[in-house]
Amino acid sequence: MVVSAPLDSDVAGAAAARLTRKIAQLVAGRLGSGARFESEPRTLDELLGAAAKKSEERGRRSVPGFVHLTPKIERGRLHVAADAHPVRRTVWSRALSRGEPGPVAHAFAQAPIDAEVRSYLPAISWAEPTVTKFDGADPDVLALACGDLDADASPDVVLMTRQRVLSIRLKDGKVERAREARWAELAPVAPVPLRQPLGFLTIVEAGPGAPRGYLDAAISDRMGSVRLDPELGLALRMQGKAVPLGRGTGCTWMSELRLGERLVACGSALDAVPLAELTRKSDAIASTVIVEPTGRARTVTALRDQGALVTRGDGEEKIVGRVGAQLAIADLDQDGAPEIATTVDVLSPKHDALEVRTLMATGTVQRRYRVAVPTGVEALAACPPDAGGVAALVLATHGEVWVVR
Amino acid sequence: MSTLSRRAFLASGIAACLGKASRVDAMGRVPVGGELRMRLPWSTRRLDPHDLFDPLAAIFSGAVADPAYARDGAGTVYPTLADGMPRIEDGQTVVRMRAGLVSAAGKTIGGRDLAWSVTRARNMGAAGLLGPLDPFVRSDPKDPLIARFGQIDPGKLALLLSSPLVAVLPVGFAPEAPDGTGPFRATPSPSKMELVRNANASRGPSQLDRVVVHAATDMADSLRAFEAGQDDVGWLGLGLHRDRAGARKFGYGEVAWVVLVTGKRAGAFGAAGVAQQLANGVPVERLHLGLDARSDVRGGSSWHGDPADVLYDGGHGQLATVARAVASKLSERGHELTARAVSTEALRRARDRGDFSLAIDVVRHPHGGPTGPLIALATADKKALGRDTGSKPPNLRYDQPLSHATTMLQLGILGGLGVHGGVVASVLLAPDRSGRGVDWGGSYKSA
Repeated sequence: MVVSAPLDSDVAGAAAARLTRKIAQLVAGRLGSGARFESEPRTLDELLGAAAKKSEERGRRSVPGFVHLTPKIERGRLHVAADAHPVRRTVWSRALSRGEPGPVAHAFAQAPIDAEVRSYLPAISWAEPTVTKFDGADPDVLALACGDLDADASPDVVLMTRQRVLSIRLKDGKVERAREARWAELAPVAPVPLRQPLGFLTIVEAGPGAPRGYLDAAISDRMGSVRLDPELGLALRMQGKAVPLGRGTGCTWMSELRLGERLVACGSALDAVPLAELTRKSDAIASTVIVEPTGRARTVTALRDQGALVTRGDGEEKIVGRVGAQLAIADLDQDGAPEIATTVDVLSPKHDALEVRTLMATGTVQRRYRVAVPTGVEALAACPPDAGGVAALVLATHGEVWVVR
Repeated sequence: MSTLSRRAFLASGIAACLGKASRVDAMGRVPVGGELRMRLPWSTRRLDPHDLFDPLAAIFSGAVADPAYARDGAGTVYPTLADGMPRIEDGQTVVRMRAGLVSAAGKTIGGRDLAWSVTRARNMGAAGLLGPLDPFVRSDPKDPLIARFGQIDPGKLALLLSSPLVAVLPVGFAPEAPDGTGPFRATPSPSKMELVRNANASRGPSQLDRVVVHAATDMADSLRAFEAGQDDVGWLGLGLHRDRAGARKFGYGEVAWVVLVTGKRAGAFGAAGVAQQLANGVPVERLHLGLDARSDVRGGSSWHGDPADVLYDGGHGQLATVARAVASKLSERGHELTARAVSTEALRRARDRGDFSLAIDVVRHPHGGPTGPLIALATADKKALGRDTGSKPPNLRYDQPLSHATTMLQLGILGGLGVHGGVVASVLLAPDRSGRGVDWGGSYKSA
């Protein structure tokens, strides 16, 4: 029997009972044919009391144990702990045990809220964005990443320059340097670098098959790519340039001064079976998995082909318009439609801006907001949800990091 | 019990991938592609980065070849083809080249090419500049990436190797088919030089697909073509009769000097320092010779020797203009000078033997620190003098005009070969990091 506790949520107005019932139903489904779920949430004490009473009534006959789920929504993430509880069968075992037994198995999982979970919560509405600025960043940032690298349920920000990869904290208006890894120690200089460098940073959060999160970093100045652990220690050197693909990365090679069209599994050779065929060369790429309210998940990739923004998903390609060199893609309002954040294709930094648009299911593009960045956007990243409201974007500009939400 | 793995709880990699635009230029990326057309009053028959007297190399050496080190406008020396700064091993200073370097023609570049290039450069234009260097430079038989330089301070060596006159060229380099690690691959010919993007470029392929440089007969040819809309670059101006609409000026310093040289047949006028006095007698600043003006010109004299020829390389249209002006301005009745075009090879022979009265020549700026220009001029006068000057630079004020420092030479500065003119609005010529000349690889053309 799978039973969920009542939902503990920092988001008001949640359809809590529906959500907890759904979670219990899904867990029961995964456990197998013998498992059932209860529709109504119950606390552990209620369950233990009920189980004890049933056990007495049945005497020596066995009373099934249960799995108790503890769902919680906090700072933009859904956390679920699961504990499997046995029930003591005999009067003697109950008498000798001095209290109820603890769980015999425990599991925990957490993930950012997506559109499916959001469908049980109040919808997020768009408002005029707020910008918080932090100074003291490295100049000439090539790439930014934002995500939960160290699995502590709060987003980490990492930036990359031509000299180093640096994890930072944004605190009291200042950029604090937490850890660094220097490119000179990570990878040799590329035999053929680019005059205008390209850099890519992707945080892959912990999950099945990856007990710890990692950071894939690639720069056209250096050979291949590197995979760094949460402490920014070198875990792996890879051929090809690691670029985002869905929730992970794929690797491609430079071709005619741009990213190639085929992505293979990082660690494979160029002629390996491709993970994705982008059909275009590009000089900027962003990718994520968009979960719809029905729970259907699809990979959406945005790339920049000679100034044109091209999106690919479900085998379809759409050209959106001309954009600048920075891209990020995420479901910022968790409604199942991806937002694309871009800069402006201008020749002068003073005309640059951050623009956020939603790719609607109908194929139209809806502008959400525009924030002028007269010092020019050097790098851009989308953060996972971490509170109520639209998820944040972080950008680097001229020695500062801005958080826009 | 296994960890819950429903898709809602799957690890969600927040993807952020960004390409960065150059801070110098744009918040979009610098455009890739396009062709640049220009014509210059200089021969396009050959290009030799080690040739002190090659004006095409003065302008385009960096497009085709790189030195092992480079020096920025602040004087900082940094590695380019080398893997780090020189270091001392077993009592010798060694340079390790970056792994995987390949020339435009596909030749592997390593320590042997560096050693060969330094030896060749020392026998040519860098004879004076490399004066402080140990006579033997050799590659390492055990490590193909290393070249050994004997006993020399590593910092000093890096500075010497940062001169474009000491560019790293593949063994067997030929100036008629120049090969190198630069952003372009060059195909020179008598009528034009084509620079095509080098996919193997060790510091990054060019942004432009191609640059086509036609050999113009004179300066007017370039300005006329630019004004008429045939070219993207107007050499030394914005048009011949009127400025081209929408064109912008560019100016990136001097990359060489045009000099007047006296030979054995000049008699008394062949004494040290006289060549500069003769050069000062040509009012370059008031004539349209396409030369950058000198500062603080002192004195000046005319030619009072026997009637004589002023030799110049006939392949260079601009030198014809200069030579005719020199001959005209310095002549006096009974002491006439006549400009006479000769081939490149003939001029070199005459100069090597001193078998001439007066000659016009080009001397490239070597970079290489404050003493570099005087060392280059001394080398252009005589190699042995250049080596002495390079080994022991005289105690002079190097912040004074260079024409004041030529008193010990049989060579005088007429004016600078500046890189300036006009470009169409869609073209941006990037400045070289040294502060002198154009970074052709970083230049671009927007649609």
